[in-house]
Amino acid sequence: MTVPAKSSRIIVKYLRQLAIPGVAVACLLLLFIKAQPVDPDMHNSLARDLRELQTSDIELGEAVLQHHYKLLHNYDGVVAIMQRMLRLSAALEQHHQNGSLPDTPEVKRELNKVQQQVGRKAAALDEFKSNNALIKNSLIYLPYAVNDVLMALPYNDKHGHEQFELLLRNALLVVINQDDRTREILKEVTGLIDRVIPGLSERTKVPAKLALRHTNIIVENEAGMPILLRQLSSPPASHVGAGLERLYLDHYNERQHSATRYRTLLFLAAILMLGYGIYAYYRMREKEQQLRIAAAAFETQEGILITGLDHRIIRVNTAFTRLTGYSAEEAIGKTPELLKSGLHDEEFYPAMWQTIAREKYWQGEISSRRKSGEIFPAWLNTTAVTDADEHMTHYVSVFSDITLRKQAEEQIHQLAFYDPLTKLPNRRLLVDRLRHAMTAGIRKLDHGAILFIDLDNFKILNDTKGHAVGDLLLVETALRLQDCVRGGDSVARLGGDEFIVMLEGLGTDEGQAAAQARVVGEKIRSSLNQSCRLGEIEHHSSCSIGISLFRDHEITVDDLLKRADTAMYEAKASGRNALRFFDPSMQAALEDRSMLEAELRHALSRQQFALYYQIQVNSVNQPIGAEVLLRWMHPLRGVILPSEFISLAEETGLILPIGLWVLETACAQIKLWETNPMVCDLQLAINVSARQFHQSDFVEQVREVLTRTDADPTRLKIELTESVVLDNINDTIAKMHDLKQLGVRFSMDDFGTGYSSLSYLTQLPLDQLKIDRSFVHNIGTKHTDAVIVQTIIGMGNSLGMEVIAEGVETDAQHAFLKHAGCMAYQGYLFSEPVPLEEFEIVVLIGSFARDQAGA
Amino acid sequence: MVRKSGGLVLVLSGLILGLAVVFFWYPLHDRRALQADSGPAVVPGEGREPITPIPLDLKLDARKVALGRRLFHDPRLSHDLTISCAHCHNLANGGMDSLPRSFDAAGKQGWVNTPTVFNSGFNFRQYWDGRAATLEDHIDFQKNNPCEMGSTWGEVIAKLGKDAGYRRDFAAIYPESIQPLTIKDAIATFERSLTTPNGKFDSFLRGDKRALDNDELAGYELFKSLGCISCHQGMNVGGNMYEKLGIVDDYFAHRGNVVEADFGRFNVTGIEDHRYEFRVPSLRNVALTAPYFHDASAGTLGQAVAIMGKYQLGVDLSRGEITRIVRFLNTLTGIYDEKFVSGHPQGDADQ
Repeated sequence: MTVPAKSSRIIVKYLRQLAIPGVAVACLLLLFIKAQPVDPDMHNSLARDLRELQTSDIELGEAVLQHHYKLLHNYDGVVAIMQRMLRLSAALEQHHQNGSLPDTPEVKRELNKVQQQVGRKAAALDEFKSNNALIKNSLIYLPYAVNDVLMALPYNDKHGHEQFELLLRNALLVVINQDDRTREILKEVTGLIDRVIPGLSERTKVPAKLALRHTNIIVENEAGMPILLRQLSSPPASHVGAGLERLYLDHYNERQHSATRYRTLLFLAAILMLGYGIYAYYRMREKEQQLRIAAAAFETQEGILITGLDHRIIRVNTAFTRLTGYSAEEAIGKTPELLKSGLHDEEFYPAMWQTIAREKYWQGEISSRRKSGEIFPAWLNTTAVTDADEHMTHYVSVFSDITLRKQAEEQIHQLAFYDPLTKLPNRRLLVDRLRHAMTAGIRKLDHGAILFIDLDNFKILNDTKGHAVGDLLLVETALRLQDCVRGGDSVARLGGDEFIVMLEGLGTDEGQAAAQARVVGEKIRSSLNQSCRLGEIEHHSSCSIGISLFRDHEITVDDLLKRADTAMYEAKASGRNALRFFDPSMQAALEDRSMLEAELRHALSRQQFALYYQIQVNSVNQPIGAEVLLRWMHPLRGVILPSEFISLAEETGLILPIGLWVLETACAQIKLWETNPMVCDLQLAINVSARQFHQSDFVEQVREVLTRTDADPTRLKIELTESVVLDNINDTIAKMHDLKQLGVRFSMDDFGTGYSSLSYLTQLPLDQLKIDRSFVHNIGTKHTDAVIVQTIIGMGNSLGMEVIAEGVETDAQHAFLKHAGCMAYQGYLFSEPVPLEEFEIVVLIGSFARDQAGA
Repeated sequence: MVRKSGGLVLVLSGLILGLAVVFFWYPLHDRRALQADSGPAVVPGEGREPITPIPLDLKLDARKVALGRRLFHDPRLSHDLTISCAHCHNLANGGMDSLPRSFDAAGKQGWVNTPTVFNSGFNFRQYWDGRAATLEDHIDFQKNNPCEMGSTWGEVIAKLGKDAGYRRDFAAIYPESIQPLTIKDAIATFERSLTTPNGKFDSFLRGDKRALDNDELAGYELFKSLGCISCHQGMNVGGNMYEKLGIVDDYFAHRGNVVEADFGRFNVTGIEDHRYEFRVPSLRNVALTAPYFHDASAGTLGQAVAIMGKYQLGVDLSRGEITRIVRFLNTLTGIYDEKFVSGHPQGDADQ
């Protein structure tokens, strides 16, 4: 829009606003002017002048008549009246000029008439005064002159006497009668005397001439008198100004009536305006109420600023001041650039204004700057205000400080995606990143790798030193891991002591990628394989690392993690503090294992388990008992040894029903053998796993089985490993004592390989120590082991415990043990573990031996 | 916002109320300064007595009188700054200059004898021939007559406007300030103040029968009985009518050398009947205003009385009659400014 167009639009707008009040005021003004009655001062003045003029006219006539009849003796009176009339006549002209008299031809004519009349009267008056004086004086002197003539005339001139007497008489009569007859006679007489005079004596001639002169003066001046008198004393109808007064009064009445009509209109207009005023007042009150509500709404907790089209701030609320630090005075007149943080790029603001121009609305997050310089995130709503013609007139911006919200969001994000202890990404975020990395990999065909890191023996540290120390190690580990990787690589904690390091962008070549991953892995391994200080404790830790490469969507994230996990287990299995790559054979074993697990679940119900018995003999080779060994009679794989499936059973929890089955079967066998003199004295030893033993109702289970099978408890021997005992030593001791009460006996399996200490060895109600097969195996080849064997035997004997050696395979071993004082043996030298039927044959042969020995 | 507009409404309504009060109390009728003094201060005589005394109370605006007095004596009213009103109408000399005809600055002679300014306000018209209806008109004529002031109004106003005193005094009296109208009004008002009441004859008229001695009284009786009173009547003893000079006998034929000025009122109206008609002059202070008649043909009062008797009445007055009439005429000298009007008494000179 061009500037002139804009300004002309504004002008038109204002004109439109002014039009209605302008017209209203003009109408009122017109009515007011029209309602003006005739100005009373002007009316009075004019009416008085008109009246006075007529009065003066009457007075003049009267005064003149009085003069005529010699009732008055000076002219001051008539002169004053005439001057007054002249003045009034001039005043009427003045009234005409100032508008008191309407400007019509009639009025002009009447006005002229008045002036002419007054002028004529003035002239007539002057003539009257002059004539009157002359007549008066001549009437004084005429008799003197006639008398002089009569005195001078000869006594006998009778005719002459008569003529002059006639002159005098008729001169007086003409003044008194003013009739034409007298005038004619007088004319004759004067004519006669005029002719006579030349004939008179000189003495008579002078007064005769004088008398004639006076008579002529009287005649001349008297002749005009009737006309003058008529002129000066006009009848009432033609008084000076009477016509004008009639015209004026008509005009006056017309004006008054018209004014009354307009006054009525004015009154109606006033009533109308009063009505409108009352209406407007109530409307204003309503508006005010709305305004007050709007004002209250304006003062919300959100900052509001209103700008004009030029972006200058017109108004702000108190929340604005509170949020930005700028007072209303400081802000008004400025532009919102005041609050610009400078953090947005160049396109941000123009884009925002374009949106507002197009959609009349914009909302979004914007970073702003307070007066203090502090920058805060704000949620901004800007709405354009438009007038009736859809032209934008103002912008209203509402904003709130969303710092707290942002912080809360951040915190929630942290909690959701990060491990609170180490501040590392958690499993969820890791999975997310892995997905992302795999997607990125599609584009780049790059390899990536994940390193599954598990701390060695962390559980032991946690159990022995407490969780606080364990946590310290985890934090330390996290720090070291982060030191070992590049900036773009991720370190995450899956949970427990498991960490994942994700490497990306390892190149397209698989071998090279593996080599790079190995470098990082080795770096981590060596970094974690250093002692560290955990509070008061100096700890040496190590870790096992499993690495799996990935590319594209070859496998799922879960599978990838499982592969790394598998590799890690491989590393663990290899003796810890090691690094292993996941490979396909490992995968096959993994799959095999899962298949086995599925089959294991059904093995019990399908009665695929069987017990093998390995005989235990005393020093004279007589059978004294047997160790019951579990075998899985797999329909396809054949006989499977416990080492292949026990750990699987423990993981899946199948160990519990299997263990119970072993216990029940063993007890049932004891009961069966009870009546057979050949086997009734044999002791059956069963292996109990840690998980089974630590069941809270394990003692009850054993009691219940013994009761149900009615087996002799003293024939049952439970073999425990050191790890079972150490898991929860107090629980173990309590349960062992309870079982001991029943008559059940105990043997310490694999003795010498664990952390067994003498202190707890004495607390356990053990009946037997079983020397681990590895020591027995090394008898004759490894001197130290032979010493250990001798020590164990000595210790058992001194503690009053029976000592048994397992894995006895050669006569030399047998001889050494026997010589060392071990009185019980188990091993291939005597019999391999065999099924029940074979075992009974072995016992039979053994009993021969016993018989031989006994013989 | 609301409170602000409320204050505005209050102020506006106060203003309207104030205007209404002013509107209702303001005198709407126009009190114009010029209309304050209405017309000549003529008390309409009852007409019963032929001569009436001059009124004692004039009811004139003293400020205007004072201003008029200054203007009356101010030569700036004339073109060449030489002549003021007082030049011809000397207040110390019977209100005229005692010359047969006055001279202007250029030495040019006027065409008639200058009448006195005293009591001129009582005359029904001004000039011998009655040219001017009022004193104001007379001032106009004087101003514009090249033989008298020879000035114009524009010139006069410009000159007076330079005088701070005039500007102040005019502004104090007239809203219109210095204008032809106001100048005339001031001078005319002053001239109306030039009355001479309380002469001996006025005292007599007011009832003091011993104010006149026997001769004077006899003179008055003669004045009446001879018919002088027919024209010389009223407050101003004349000055309220026209009359022809030379009624019974032909004055101009006897005097000879008739000039245009002798035509009198004919020069104004052009009517043949008005030829030789003049305004009957006032006889107030007549003893001090020689020479007499429009043509200054009578050097003394006695001569003037004799001429009047011969031509106007047709009588040859005796010396005694003339003396007694002159004695009477001397009692018409009045008082102005607390003393008798001064001049050159001529009344008794030729006895």
